[in-house]
Amino acid sequence: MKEFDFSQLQSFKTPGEWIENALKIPNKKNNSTILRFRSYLIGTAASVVIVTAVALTLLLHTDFSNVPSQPPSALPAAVTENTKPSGNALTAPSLEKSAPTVSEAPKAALPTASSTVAAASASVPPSSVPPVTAATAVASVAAPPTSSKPSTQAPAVPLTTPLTTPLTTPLTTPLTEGTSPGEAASPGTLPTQPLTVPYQGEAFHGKIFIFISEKNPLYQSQYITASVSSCGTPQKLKPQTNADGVRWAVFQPSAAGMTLYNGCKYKLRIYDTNGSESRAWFTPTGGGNAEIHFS
Amino acid sequence: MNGDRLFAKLTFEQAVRKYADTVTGVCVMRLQNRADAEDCFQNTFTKLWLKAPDFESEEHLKAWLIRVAMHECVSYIRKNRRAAALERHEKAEAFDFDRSDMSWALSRTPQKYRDVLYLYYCEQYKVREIAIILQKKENTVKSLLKRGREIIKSIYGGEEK
Repeated sequence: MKEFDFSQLQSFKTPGEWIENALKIPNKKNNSTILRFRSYLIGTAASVVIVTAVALTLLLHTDFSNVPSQPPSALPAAVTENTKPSGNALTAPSLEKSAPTVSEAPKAALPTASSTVAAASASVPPSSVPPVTAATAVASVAAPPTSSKPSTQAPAVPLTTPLTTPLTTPLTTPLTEGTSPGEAASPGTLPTQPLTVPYQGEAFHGKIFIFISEKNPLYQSQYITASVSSCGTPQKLKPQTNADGVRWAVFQPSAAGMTLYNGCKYKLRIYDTNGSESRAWFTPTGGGNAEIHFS
Repeated sequence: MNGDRLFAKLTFEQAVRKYADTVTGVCVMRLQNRADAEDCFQNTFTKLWLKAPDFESEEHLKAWLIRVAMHECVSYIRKNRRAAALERHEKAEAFDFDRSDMSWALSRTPQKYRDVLYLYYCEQYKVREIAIILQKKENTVKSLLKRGREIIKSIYGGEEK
């Protein structure tokens, strides 16, 4: 019979190499923490860099010129671009650029202080319109209608020729707030840099020249009604036809009891009694008149 | 550099040499594989060096090493469960127990009995101390010892002296 004693149970003999390896532990560099967190550090750093880059990109590409400086209660609702006509298929002029680079401008027969003429406005010029300071509703730097004083350099002749000829002399002096455009900007002193929005937040007192192309169903209308962003009283207008066959009408929001502010986006709606309707967004940014084309 | 730190008045080398067998026994009993046991052995002493707790006495140091070695074995098994399953098929190098040795019979007992028996017979711990180390009640340790002895008898065969 096999006999046993529990006292025979003995501790294990440790191999010598185990002990030798264990004695090397103090000489090992303690980089366990660094190794453990290295991936997190890299990930965190990469995330920070990416987020910063995205934020900077967004900031650089964000146009703050359209941000109204008036308190929201004092301003009409500034809305985003939406030029979709409600009834008939109509396209509205693009008016979102608030500070266009002046690359082309009329060389001759410039109206009063119409030194910054957007390319869009030059594309559909009126031929027999009254003294239109050829400027879009967005980039108008024309003289306010209240100060009808003509520029010393620009002729005070009504614009009768199409604005297709580019300006040869660039503007060098950007307009500053409070400076009359007629004094600050002349055909000979066009700035090379994009103009900043003058009169930001101030009331817009100019007129809006509405141009209706032949394609527009409102072209045939004897009378059209214009209203801006459901404020004030809609104004009834009688369009006229110029030599180029473009129908146009003048709309003065201030006369209709509307107070528009420069730098804010508004929706101009024109319609007639037959139910045809066109809409366009515009942003008055200058002290002069505005021009909106309905194609 | 090795003499910089003291562990219950022992240098690191002294601590390793003194308690290497104890830690080895715990690791081998738990893992029953030479390579795995060596890993846990190294990890245990690495923790001793890195943590460097303030030990009151050598007994405290020994108990700490046993507890850490047990935890290391548990986490090692948990981490390498898949690899361990594969190794079992490949017949990894098991710790060579002599069948005539009582240690072989001890290695065949279930885990919960093995720890208690090992600490009681090999490390000469008392029931109360085992209860503290394993965080069990003394009566539980006693019953585990009793059943463990019976299991060893049945495995080893023969009669107790």
